[in-house]
Amino acid sequence: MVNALAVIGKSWGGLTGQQWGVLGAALAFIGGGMGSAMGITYISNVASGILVEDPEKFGTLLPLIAIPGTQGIYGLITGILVTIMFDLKTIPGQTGIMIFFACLPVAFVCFISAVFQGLTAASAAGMVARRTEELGKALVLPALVETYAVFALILTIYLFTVIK
Amino acid sequence: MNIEPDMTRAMKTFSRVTRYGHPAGRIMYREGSQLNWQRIERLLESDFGGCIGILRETSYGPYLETATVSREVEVGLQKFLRDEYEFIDDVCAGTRVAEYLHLKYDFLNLKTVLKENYFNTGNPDMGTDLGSIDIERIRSSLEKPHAGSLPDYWEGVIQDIKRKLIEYGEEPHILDAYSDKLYLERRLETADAERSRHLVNFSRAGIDVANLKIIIRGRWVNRGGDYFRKVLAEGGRLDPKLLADLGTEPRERLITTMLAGKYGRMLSKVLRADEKKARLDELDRATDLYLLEEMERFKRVTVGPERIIKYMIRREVEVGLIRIILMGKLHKLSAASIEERLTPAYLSGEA
Repeated sequence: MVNALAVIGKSWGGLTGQQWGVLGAALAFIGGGMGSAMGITYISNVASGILVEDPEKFGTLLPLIAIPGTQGIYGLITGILVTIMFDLKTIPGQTGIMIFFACLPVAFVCFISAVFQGLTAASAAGMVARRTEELGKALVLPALVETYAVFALILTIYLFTVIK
Repeated sequence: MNIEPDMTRAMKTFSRVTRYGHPAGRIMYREGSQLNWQRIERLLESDFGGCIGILRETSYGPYLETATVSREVEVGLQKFLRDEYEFIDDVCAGTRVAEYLHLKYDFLNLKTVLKENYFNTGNPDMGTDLGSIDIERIRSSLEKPHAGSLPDYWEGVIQDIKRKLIEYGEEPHILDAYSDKLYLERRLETADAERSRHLVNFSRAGIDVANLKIIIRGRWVNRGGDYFRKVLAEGGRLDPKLLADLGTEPRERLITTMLAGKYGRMLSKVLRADEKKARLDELDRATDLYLLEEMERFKRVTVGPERIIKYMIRREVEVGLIRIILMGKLHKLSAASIEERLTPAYLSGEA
């Protein structure tokens, strides 16, 4: 398996371990960052409508607007961890490609979960728009979506420790 | 009719949210001000003055607080609806949502003007200012055809109706039925242009319901299959040609076929009643109830044209309900008697 990975690592596009590592780190942030940007756009559009009607709700809506932003942070953490935990300049191709694959949970799960979290937060904003006191319940729904982004981050970090 | 596959629609969610997110947010807030069942019960239990007091706590307050007679109630409610439509025009600028909602009133104005012209039966006060085209523009377009005072679609509609009146006979019921057909077909086109599956399904259901009403009412006044073929709208789930044939079938066969179909539950009470005793308002009530239930599917869409359209339709229904209650109170009707005229489905959904 390791030999096969090494062959792929050397032959596929001729990327070195460092290049695979950087690609994984970049992809993790691209996925998380893009997802967060889209998720925040969803909820911000809806929240801006509610705020036009009732500007007093800004404080109540802020946690809902911010919550899809966490996936971008997970992507950033993953990217930084790649550079901190591994000596990218010296790692062999097979380690590089393993780092790359270890970054994929964050890259994909954070992207998808941030988008859907934005949609869920938009629905939850409807509850807050009508009854401010429902904020607690409204926050639980998007927070459940967050769980899977957290699991992805945990898995990625665990895989880093295994690779190291 | 091109309904997009699920995957393609899902990919378009982002653009829908960016297009409708802001209006949906504003609507979400305003939905909180819609009347709930508790408030309706309070209205039913109060006298007219009490009702006005209760409505003062709602968004109807500024429109009705000085109303003391039926005319003032009517003017207040009309102004409320007009302001709601202005709000929709404002937040939905650049989309087809406002057009979808205004169509009904545009066709109503058109029918009023055509009736004035053809039958001298139209009442100048019958027009509404809830349409997207001013009724005076329609009048001037009829006086000076092709003067460009109306958009091309409307010029075409006027010419089409004029032709059909010559072809089918200059009768008010032909004018009404043919205009309604054009309205329903145009509404379906608009829903299709919005690429909303729920809206398309709702518009199709609206066509089916209208066609079934034409068949049932037509039989009560002995209209033939030829009439049905002329005025049944296209685009519904039920084939209008089959419906037209069914309309001339013996009563027993008609009942059996309709009860076995998709709309059997909706029509069961009306169809089982004696044809001579069946009441028009029962048919209207059954079909209104059905369409409001259909509209509940819009709940599945958090952000999109469906939410906005559902809000406005519920507002219109709510205005109708307040009108019934206030007029009943002004005429000293009992709470039970007023409640009989209300449909529980008026309050389904958010209530």
